[in-house]
Amino acid sequence: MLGSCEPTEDPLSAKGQQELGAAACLRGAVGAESTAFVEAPGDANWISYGSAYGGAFVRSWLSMHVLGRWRDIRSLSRKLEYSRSHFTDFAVLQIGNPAIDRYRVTAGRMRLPFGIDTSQAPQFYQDKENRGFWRSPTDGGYLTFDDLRRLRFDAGLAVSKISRLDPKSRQPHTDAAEKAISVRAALDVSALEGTRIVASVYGAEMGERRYGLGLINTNQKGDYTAFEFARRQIFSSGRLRPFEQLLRLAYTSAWQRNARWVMQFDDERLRFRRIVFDYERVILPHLNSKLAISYLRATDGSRVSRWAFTCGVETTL
Amino acid sequence: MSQSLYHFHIIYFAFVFIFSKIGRIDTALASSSEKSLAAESVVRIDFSNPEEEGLAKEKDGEGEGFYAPPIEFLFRNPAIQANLSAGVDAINSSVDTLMDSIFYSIMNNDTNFHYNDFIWYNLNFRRRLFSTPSGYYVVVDRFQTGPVYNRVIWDYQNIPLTFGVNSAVEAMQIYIRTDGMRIAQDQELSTPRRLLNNWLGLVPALAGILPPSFNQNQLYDPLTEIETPFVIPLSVDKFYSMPIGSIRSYALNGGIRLSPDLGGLVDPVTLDLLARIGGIQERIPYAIFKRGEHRINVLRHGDHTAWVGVSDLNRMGQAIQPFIGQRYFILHGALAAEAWNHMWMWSGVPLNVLPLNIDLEQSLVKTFDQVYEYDLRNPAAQAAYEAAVTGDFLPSRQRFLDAKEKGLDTGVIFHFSRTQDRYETVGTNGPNVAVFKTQRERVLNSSEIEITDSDGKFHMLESALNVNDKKWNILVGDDETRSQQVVTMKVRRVINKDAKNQTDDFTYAFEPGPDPYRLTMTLSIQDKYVDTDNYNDYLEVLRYVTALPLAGLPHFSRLDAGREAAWRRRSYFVAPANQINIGHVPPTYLGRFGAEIAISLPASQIDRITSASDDAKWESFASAFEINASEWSSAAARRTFKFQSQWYKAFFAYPLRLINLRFAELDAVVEATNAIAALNHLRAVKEPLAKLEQFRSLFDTDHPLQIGRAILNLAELTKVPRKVTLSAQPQGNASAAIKATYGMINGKTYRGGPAFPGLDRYAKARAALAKFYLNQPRESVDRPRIQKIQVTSRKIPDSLRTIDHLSDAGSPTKSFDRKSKQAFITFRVDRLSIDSPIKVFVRIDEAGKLQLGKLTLVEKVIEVSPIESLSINRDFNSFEFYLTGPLSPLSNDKFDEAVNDGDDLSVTMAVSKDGAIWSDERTFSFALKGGRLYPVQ
Repeated sequence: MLGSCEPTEDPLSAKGQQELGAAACLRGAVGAESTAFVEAPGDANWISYGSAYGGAFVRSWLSMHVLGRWRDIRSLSRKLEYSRSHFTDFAVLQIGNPAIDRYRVTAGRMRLPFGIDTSQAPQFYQDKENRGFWRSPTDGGYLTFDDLRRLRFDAGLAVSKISRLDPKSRQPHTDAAEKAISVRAALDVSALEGTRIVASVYGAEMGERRYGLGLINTNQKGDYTAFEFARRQIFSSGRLRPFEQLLRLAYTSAWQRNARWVMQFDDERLRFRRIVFDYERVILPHLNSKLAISYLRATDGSRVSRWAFTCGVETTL
Repeated sequence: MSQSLYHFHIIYFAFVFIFSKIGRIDTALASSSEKSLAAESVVRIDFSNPEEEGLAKEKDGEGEGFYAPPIEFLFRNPAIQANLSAGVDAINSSVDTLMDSIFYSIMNNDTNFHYNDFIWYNLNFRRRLFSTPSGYYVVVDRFQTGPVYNRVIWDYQNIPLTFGVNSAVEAMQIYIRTDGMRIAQDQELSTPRRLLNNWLGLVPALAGILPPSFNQNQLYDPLTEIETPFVIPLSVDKFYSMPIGSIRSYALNGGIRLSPDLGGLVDPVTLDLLARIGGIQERIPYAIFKRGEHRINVLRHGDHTAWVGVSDLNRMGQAIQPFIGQRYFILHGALAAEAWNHMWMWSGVPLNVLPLNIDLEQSLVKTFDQVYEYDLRNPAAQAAYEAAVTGDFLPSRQRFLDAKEKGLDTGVIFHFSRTQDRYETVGTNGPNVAVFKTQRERVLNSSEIEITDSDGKFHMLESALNVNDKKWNILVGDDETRSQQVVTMKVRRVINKDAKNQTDDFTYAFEPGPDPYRLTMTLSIQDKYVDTDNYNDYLEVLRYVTALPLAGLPHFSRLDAGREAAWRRRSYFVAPANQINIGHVPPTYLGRFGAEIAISLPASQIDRITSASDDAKWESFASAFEINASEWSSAAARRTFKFQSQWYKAFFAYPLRLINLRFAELDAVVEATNAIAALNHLRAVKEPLAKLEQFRSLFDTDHPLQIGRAILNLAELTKVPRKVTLSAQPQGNASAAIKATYGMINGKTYRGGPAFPGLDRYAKARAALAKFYLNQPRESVDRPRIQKIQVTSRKIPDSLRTIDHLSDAGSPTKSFDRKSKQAFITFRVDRLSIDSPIKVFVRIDEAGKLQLGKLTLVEKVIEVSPIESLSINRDFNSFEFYLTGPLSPLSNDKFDEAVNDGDDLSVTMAVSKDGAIWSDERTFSFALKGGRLYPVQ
């Protein structure tokens, strides 16, 4: 399957079971964005980005999933400034199927389950977000219990070698291993169809603690609304550093009349408050355009405020 | 470089704009082929149910009615009663929820004018809204003002001891409001007043986009709240300005207290820990107090009928209100302005987070109630009324005696007077985290009552447990379950043998007769938002509590099978990281649900229960708590370690009550032990007062339903009158078949055992007093009822030529095709005999487009004339009008555009003869696409 990964029949029906054998699903996107800032024309940038996802189902209960992303940012006024970010978002093996099985195990290279961690905002906007709210050691796994009615629990453990600066040789070495655990619970609120409350906690051996609370709503037409609150605290040398906190409200409309809206508001404690409105439109099959306007006001004492305009194109598979 | 970049942006925007216009044309063409829904040319909804007819009549004839709390309980808060909060106002607990914080708090104004640090004058306006089973809202506007003295007189070891005195004047007006009444009233008001009532249009706009728990009746008409102190009906003229069914209440109250704050005993380490977790505070204020109140209530019972009640209350006791929490301000500083070197910054939205929030009060209460009725067409009654509302009931008494003894027509009726000595325990607890709140209020009391009615004086003993569980969340509002267990004893006073000529040294003896005491258990469930899961749970509760099979009630599948299959298809290939975004298919939403249960145990059954063997009692309690009966039913089993170890479960589960979590299975052994001990003592004692004490012990439980069921297990079911009455209002987007089936349970009554006893003198007095309670106004009045609704698609009549000028091809919303069909609605209204136009309230929301909020397209009251040819029977009338199109009285740009786009529409209707008394609301959904009607899937 390419692009749209959805069986045509109910997997539990007789027809559906016949249809579903080994299957693979591929999806991808490549795009470019240009952003100009009203108060700082010199900061204008150009971003090229892309993602590729592959899912392979050996059986309904056994599947592999890989997602890779890249994002290159080039300053338009100062051409020498260049930022590259290429990474594997996840590469995991999943035992159990989310539509059928109540217990599932997911393991491999991944982030531990925490919060919602979904943004459809333009890339320049995403680039500024503090990934520390969701990052975790990369090698691990988690167990999911899903009652297939209204409750879901994830409990995960992850480990990864981290680079540390050796105090004597002043050289980085990777002997230390960071260990972290997380627990996430999701409860569907039947009173409002498609509404889910998500609560998460995360703890790392080296003194990081995170707490998260979120609300997701997807209505029958496919409009997606998410509210996410996350707080991150780090104990450094036995002392508590000022905590980081995020309040996010995101809205992504369903594709209607070949167009959709994306709105996202972020309030990051001691960094900024910002908001973006993004209008995306299909101009040719598999080719979308996007126009975005955003506003940022720093809350770190600098009192910087910035309007930004973005335009871009994206091709999707 | 940057300039060329701007040019590039401008060209790009223009380019996309052109494409967007082209895309709109493509989409319009494509939309005609979207969704292969099975077309229906008619959407029919039939709300008929013959069983509903008998409901009102039954309620009037029997004595087991359910009573809502009296007026003086409306703003009951033990801490406030004890004046505790005056000393600890760090967290204003009147701001309960996020809706209160952001919106409703604007109607609650509390201002203190300080003379110095410990003397101030308080001015307080407050509005509360209560919902009734029929869907009406009861608005309570309160004004209170008076001086307060509050001073720390000693501080010992970080425990401040506060002395406080206060007195106040209070006025309340209590009236009914529905959406229909609000809109009808709006349309008759002048433009300035209409704008004021709706906060310059802001309130209707908010109602269109906020979740259903937002109720614009909370904010509508602020001027009426402000005029509360000026509308006390001290004259007959002012009485006639009251709406029928409304209540005006005014009182003088005051109190004194001594209050140490025991929060100072908490160790510094704990305080430091709480401070680190988001700056959480703790307080443990304790008080001993004495309070008094003198209240007069006036009810406009009919066109010319006034009921005046006087109530004196004297309360003395102790109270404690420990809490842990904090008030946070979200979006603090999100808005700011700076001008002439002055900086203003918005303080943000206050959010109370109170994970631990408990009020406990124990008090001795003396009350006196008296109720008179006046026919104000009679001059004698007018004079008596005007004296009574100022507190002088002597003329009323004289006019009543004139009528009774001399046969004069004075227009004054004396209903009863009641004095009551009550020992009361009130507990309220439940966490409140701004968007979700659970609360349990538990009132346990035992009373000695003396009643004087038109036949003379008699005495009653009464013990009662009231447990009120309320849940609220920001999405759908609240649901409430109230259970009551009341034992009443008919007694007479007897002078103690040892007393020498001391008439106040008396005790009680049972009145001779077959049924000297009776236990009544009632349960009321009101839930505005019920899905199939809730419905099945409620049915289980009803069956459990009444031991009735309730056969014949419909069963609904938990989920819509089609949507469940679609969910499986959508979820099957989803990558693990994205699964959190895909929620499950929710249970099918059915609508509003209500149930009232009554069970009445006569003395003979109570005696049978108390005289059962210990083993039988333990067995019945095990069954009630869903524990294997063999583990409890023999003395040997109850001596085993396995049985005894159950005390540990109860012990460790006890702290969970602090956050309003109770588990019947874990508490079972404690509850059963206490209840069985009380039943055994009941058997042993013979004196009424001793029995009253044991009934109070029996009722002292956190699991009243389980205790009630255990008692029922020991009784002969065939001799116990039991009754369940259901109410249901279908709403939402469920299929028409499901809604019709669900609607059929409305008004159904199930009975078991013999008939309930008729109203005795005491029950009549209670019923009279209950006229002043919240659920009474208007409920008994025969209201019109929408019986059938039929939506069809119909062409504009060819004969109609005058609408052609409306056709405007340039406007996508105004243009219409004469050949296209429009939605046409026909409906039948019962209990309505009328020849003139009626008022029809219509609200149309977009169904399904926005689930988190709702989009109201139009909300209006229109006048519709009856169809003469279909209105043969005088008891009902039929009406019709175009719902969509140029002939629709509801037409506006927003609504017309939604209709043209073929959006799913949800229609809510109610009717009224006069704009004051409205029918229940009816809701249905449809979509009109290309002139064809489709049911909403």
